[in-house]
Parts: sequence; structure tokens; C-alpha cells
Amino acid sequence: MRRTFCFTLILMTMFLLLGGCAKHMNHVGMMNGEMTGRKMDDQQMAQGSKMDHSAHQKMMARKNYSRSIETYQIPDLLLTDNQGRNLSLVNLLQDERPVLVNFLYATCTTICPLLSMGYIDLQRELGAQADQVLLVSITIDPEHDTPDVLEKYRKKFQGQPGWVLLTGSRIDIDAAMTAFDAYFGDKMDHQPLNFIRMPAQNKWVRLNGMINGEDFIREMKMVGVWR
Amino acid sequence: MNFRMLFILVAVVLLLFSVGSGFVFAAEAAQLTPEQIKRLGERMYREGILPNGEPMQAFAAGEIPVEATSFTCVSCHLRSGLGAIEGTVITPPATGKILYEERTTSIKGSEFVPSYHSYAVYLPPRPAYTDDTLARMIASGVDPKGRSTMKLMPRYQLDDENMAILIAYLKTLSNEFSVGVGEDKLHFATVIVEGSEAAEVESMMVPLQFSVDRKNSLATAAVNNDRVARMAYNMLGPDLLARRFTLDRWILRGPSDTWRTQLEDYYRKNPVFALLGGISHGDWEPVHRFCEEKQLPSIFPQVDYPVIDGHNWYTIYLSRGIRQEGEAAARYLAGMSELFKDKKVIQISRDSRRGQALREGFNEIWDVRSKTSTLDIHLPEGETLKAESLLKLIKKQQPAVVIVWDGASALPALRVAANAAGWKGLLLTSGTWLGESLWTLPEDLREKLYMTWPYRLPQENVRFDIALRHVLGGRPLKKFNTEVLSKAYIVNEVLGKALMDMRGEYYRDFFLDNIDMLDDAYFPLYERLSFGQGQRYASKGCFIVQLGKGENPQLERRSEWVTR
Ligand code: HEC
Repeated sequence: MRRTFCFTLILMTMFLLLGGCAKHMNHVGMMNGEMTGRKMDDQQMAQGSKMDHSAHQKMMARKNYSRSIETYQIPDLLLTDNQGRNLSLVNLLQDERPVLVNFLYATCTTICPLLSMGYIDLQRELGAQADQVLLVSITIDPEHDTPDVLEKYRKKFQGQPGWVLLTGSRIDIDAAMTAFDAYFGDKMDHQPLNFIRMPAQNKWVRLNGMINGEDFIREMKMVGVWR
Repeated sequence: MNFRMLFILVAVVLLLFSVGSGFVFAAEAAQLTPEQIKRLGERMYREGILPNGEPMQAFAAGEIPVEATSFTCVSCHLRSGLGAIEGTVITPPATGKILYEERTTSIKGSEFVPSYHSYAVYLPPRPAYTDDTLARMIASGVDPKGRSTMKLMPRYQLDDENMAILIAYLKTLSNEFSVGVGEDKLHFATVIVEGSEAAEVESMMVPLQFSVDRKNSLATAAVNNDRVARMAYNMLGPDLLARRFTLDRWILRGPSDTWRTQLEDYYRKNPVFALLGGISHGDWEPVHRFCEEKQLPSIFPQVDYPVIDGHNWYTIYLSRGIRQEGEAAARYLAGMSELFKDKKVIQISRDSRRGQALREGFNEIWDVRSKTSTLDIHLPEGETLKAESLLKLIKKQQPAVVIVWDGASALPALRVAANAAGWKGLLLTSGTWLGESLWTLPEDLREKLYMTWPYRLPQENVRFDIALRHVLGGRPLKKFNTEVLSKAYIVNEVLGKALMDMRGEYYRDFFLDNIDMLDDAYFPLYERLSFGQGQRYASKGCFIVQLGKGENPQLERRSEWVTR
């Protein structure tokens, strides 16, 4: 059983560390007369598969996610929440409650349901105190994810008050992603990132991986934002 | 090992015993008809609902109970069941055909195709599933090798009967190539409504035909083992390279309520894999409904009035059509409604299909986003907007905005309104409806007139001309309707990308799944197209513009591509 578990970890590491599955093509594609563009990806992928597994295995020996402390300057952006209210991102993230941030979008496959699961699981763990933590999700597909779409998304996952989903102009959303060093280039290259605000100015815990409620609570305690 | 892990392990062991031992459901599944399997299994797969109407029980990350209705199989494995690669996460296929085969590190038959993205490389090899090991995997998150899959894949508690239905359904998913896939051919058609302008039809057909011919000459080259073909092999793989495409024209004649039978006829004679492009400035709904019913993908028909329906699946439109301009106007104005406080917004719209689409698009957004109501005035067909009445209206109401959803015949009245003494409001109309007259607007109107423009600004679009010329075989670009040409060009691009990602698996749902998973696209004409699971209107944008000064004026942006 233990071996099974380790194996899963190695796999998870592979998932998280292998990038480059995106599909980049130039303007003139196969059906318009030229074929270009795939080579890079294959090289990247070939490199990926040769990586040293044992090193990563060690690094991730205990958790299903990686963790680092980062400094982020939050830009002053006006975003719109799932209730259609316009909010200043700076103000919102200065909320007196503990603040968590992630990036998702409504029509995304495996990653987003799991990111949302993390939030929902945290709210469940917190029970009556669920609204004592501010959960912020910023869509990376603002053109499709209107406030309406985001509100439906929250309802689908039965998110409780305390979960705020934000959309905005493309430029502002890009700025928000960049601020958190989470600019993916394309939403299809999305990664499972979560951020926890630390007490020190502009300091954030960056978590990359699949995280459940218990993990969140442990991480919040570790940086002293939860008792 | 912490307490939680222990809990998972205990749960898994218990489940292994309860589920893995003597799991007999083949008999139960046998009692179900194929239609039942399809209907009931599909509901479990797509909605997370059991045959008895209750939600399925799901546990994410091993033991966290989640709503199976939000953690549906389809949301991760997609409609075709063939999975997805998104960022760093791979969702492998969940179709019987693939599950019941051993997984090695490459896809059978394509071992030597460098461009084939293979999930198989990143997932550990496993033996073929059996009914028992598959049931165990779904219920307890352990694959046939004993590896836990629960980090990403939820587990589902199902009784034997329901498990049997679900597994029977997985076996039907992407099991046989779709209709329209021949031995060595792939059949397509394009639908043209009779009476469409010949120049437009040609501007659409030339690029579509080009791509088909081009593809077929590659196939010929492949037979002759041409050097080009060897290169193409690396990108397309053996199957797609050798396959020939056919493109039929389905011309629909007479009133739209007779189209259905015509479509049935065409389809019976030549059942195609998908419809490409298509042209109609009027009705399209019968074609849309036909495609939904036959589960026939229809990629980017060039229509003014797409069917707006949150549940449609098989038609992917370029945009929401003409109404998208109305919607954009409402968003733009709602964004600055604080500026005009309790001043009125007047909406004058032509009582034609086009005017109505713009009005409806505007109202749909405005009603939600703004507290002020509009003063709606309808302009009957055949009646020109009169300068005096517009002026009178403006004097009386002193509106913040006058929207006029009408063509070039309204320009004289608009010009008078623009010069109305003492009036500070703005005028807004549809840029596309003005046609060529847009470029010769009198200077005194340009300053006050705002227009919707659902495309990239022309001066920024010229960089795509080279790409467009590519498909014209030396004919001058000027001879074509570049708007129509560009839209057909986009069909080619998207078709090519999706087919390459399909790795020779010709299932219609997989075709659509692959389009859904495309990156944001920067093609001719539209500032940006974007995709996503179930997103059916690729362009979400529309600029608000004004015409600049001078003899060769350019459009000037007054808004972002997508306004909130
Ligand atoms: C949150 C996303 C998600 C949902 C929901 C989901 N799956 Fe999966 N599924 C995955 C991922 C990711 C894997 C790969 C896990 C691994 O191999 O570690 C997987 C693996 C599988 C496998 C094993 C594939 C193999 O080759 O071993 C099967 C079978 C499967 N899923 C079926 C289903 C069914 C049936 C449902 C619905 C009842 C479902 N899945 C719901 C994400 C999901």
C-alpha cells in the first residue's frame, strides 16, 4: 500500500512538473496550406520525459503540492464580482479575514473542479466559521465568464458566502495573473495554483498542486493567519 | 502517515473487499436495452444523476464528499470520453475501447509520429481493465496495478446495477467511427441557402475547396512517397495523411420550413462527418436543429442570426451574430451610465429582422445592467427616419444617448441630430449596417457618432492579408469579399488543428471536444476567438468605434474588444 502511495506521488510530480502540452500553431495551419508549429512542443515534451524523477520525488516526498513564499505587488484594479458589484482588488485583498486566491474558469476541465473542491472542502472544514475566511477566485477566461456565469458556477459547487469570484477586462485580468506570477499565456496551460496572504506586507504563500481543506488550514496556521 | 491517509487506506481496503470480490454485473447489464444504457448511462456520465433520479455519490481526493452533479465524468473526460490535456494535468480516456486495452507508453500504430501528443507517455503503463477491475477503479480509485488514482479522479459509490449501467455506457463511448468517416475518406458538406450572393458564395467556397484539394494532393503525394509527404507524416500521422476529404454543396431552396426534408435527402445520399462553413443572411434554425438531432458538428456557418440557446452542442458559431452588436452597445453604455444619471436613452430601431436582433441584444443586457429604461421607438419597414421628427424628439427629451438601429438611409437624419443646437448627448449606431457609407460619413457627424464594430479594426487586420492570399491560388484578394473569405479561412484553421489533435480517432464528439480545447486564436477578421467546453460562440467581442478625421479615415477604438 505504501508503495502505491509513493507511486502516486511520483505521478503527481510528473503532472505538476511537465509543461509544454500546449498546442501552438502559426497563422497558416494545415488546411490553409502550410504546416508549422508543432516541433517545439515535441522537444519540450521529450525533455520533460527525461527528467530526474528521484529528485522531484524527494522534493515532494510529503505533500501533494509544492510551496514557496513570494512577494507580490497587487495592482490597483477594478474587477467585478459574481454579484455584479465592482470591487477594487487591492481593497478586497486587504480584507481583515485570512485571504486565499486562486485562478480558474467556468468551462475548464479537471483542474478547476479540483481547485473549487479545495475551497469547498475548506468551507466545510470551517463549518459555521466558513465566512471567516475570504476565498477569492479570479477567472482567467473573462470574455466568457461574466458575473452571471460565475454566480452559476458558485451555485453549482454550492459555495458558501465568503467565496468571491471575480471577472474583469482582459487587460486587468492579465495584470492580476501577472501580479501573482500566474500568467499562463493561454487558459489551456492553466496550473493548479493557490495563494495565501501572509501577515507581512505583500507576502504570499504560493501553493502549486491539489489542495484540500485540511491542507489549507494547516498552511494558514503555519503562517499564523488561522488559530 | 497521518490520520487522514490511514482513513483513506482503510476505506480503500474495505472497498476492495466489498467490490472486488465476485462482482457480477454482466448479467444485469444484459437485461438493459441499448437505449436504456444510452439514456441512463449518459445521464450518469453527463449529469451525475442515477437512474432513480438521485445524485450519484462522489468523493474527491479519496474521502471528501462532493456533489457528483458538479463532479461529472463529462466535465473532466469530455463528451467523447477521450479525455483532455490541460496545462499540466492529463485526463486519460475513459472509453471501453481504450480501457480494455493495455496501456503502453505510446499509442498503437502511431509510435513513430513525433507530433502525436500522447497522454500515454505521461501515465504509467497498466494492463487492460476487466469489468471487475474497472468497477473497482471507479468505486475505490485503484487501477489494475494497485495504483491509486484518487489524487485527481474522484471515486463514485455505486451499487452493482448502476455500476453495470455506467460501465456499459463507457463501452459505447467513442467505440465506432462516426458516420461520415469512410474507409480512406472523410466527408464534409457546406450548406448554402439559395439566393445568397454569388460573390459571397465564391468567397467562401474558394478557401474551403482549396484546403480540401490541398489535403487530397498530400494524400496523393503520400502514395508516391513524396518528400513533402514524409514531412507531413510527422505532423499528421499515417491515417490523416492518407485520408481524402470530400466537400459537398448542400443548397437549400424555397421556404425554410421545407429545408428539413431537403437536408434529410442530402444526408441520406451522403452522410457527412461535419458541416463546414455555410451561408445564410436569413433563417438558419432548421439547419441548427437538424445538426442537433443528427449529432452532426457544424463549424462556423456564416449566419446573421445564430440560434441562441445555452444547451445547443453541435453548431459552433463565430459569434452571436448581429445581436452581439446590440449587446456590446448596452454594455458600453451601462459602463458609463453614472455619467448620464437620470437622462433618457432613446432606442430607435428598424422593424426588420436586423433591427429587431440589435434591439433584443441591447435590451437583454440593458435590462439587467442599467436602472434607467429606454424609450423604444420602432421604425416601420419602408419608412425613412425623418430629420425633423428626430430633432423634435431630442429637443423634447434631451436624451443622453440616441441609438439608431438602421442602415445608411438614416444618415441624413443622424447628421441633423449631430448638429442639434445645445444637445450634448451621443449618437450610436451599427457600423456594419452602414456598409460602405461608413467610410464617407460627413465630418460633422463623425465626432458625435459612435458605432459598433464586431471585428478587428481594418487597419490592424491588413497583416493577415498574406495569409489570406495563400488560399487564393494567385487570384487577387480585391476580387473577394474579405469578410466572407476570412470566415472560411478560420474554418480551415480550426478544422486542421482539431483533426491533428484527433490522432486518427474520428468521432464527432471528439472533434468538438478538440475544438473546445483550442487555445485562444488570433485569426483574420476577429480580434480574438476563444473556446472552452461547451462554449458555442467563439468571438465574444465587439468594439465601439468612431470614424477618424480626413479623407482616408480609419476607425478609432472607443472601447475594449470585450466590454463588461
Ligand atoms: C475531476 C475530474 C474527473 C472526474 C469528475 C472524473 N474523472 Fe476519471 N479520471 C480523471 C483523471 C485525472 C484520471 C487519471 C488518474 C490517474 O491515472 O492517476 C482519471 C481516470 C479515470 C479512469 C482510468 C483511466 C485509466 O486508463 O486507468 C477511468 C475509467 C475514469 N477516470 C472514469 C471516470 C468516470 C466513469 C467518471 C464519472 C463517474 C470520472 N472518471 C470522473 C479525472 C476525472
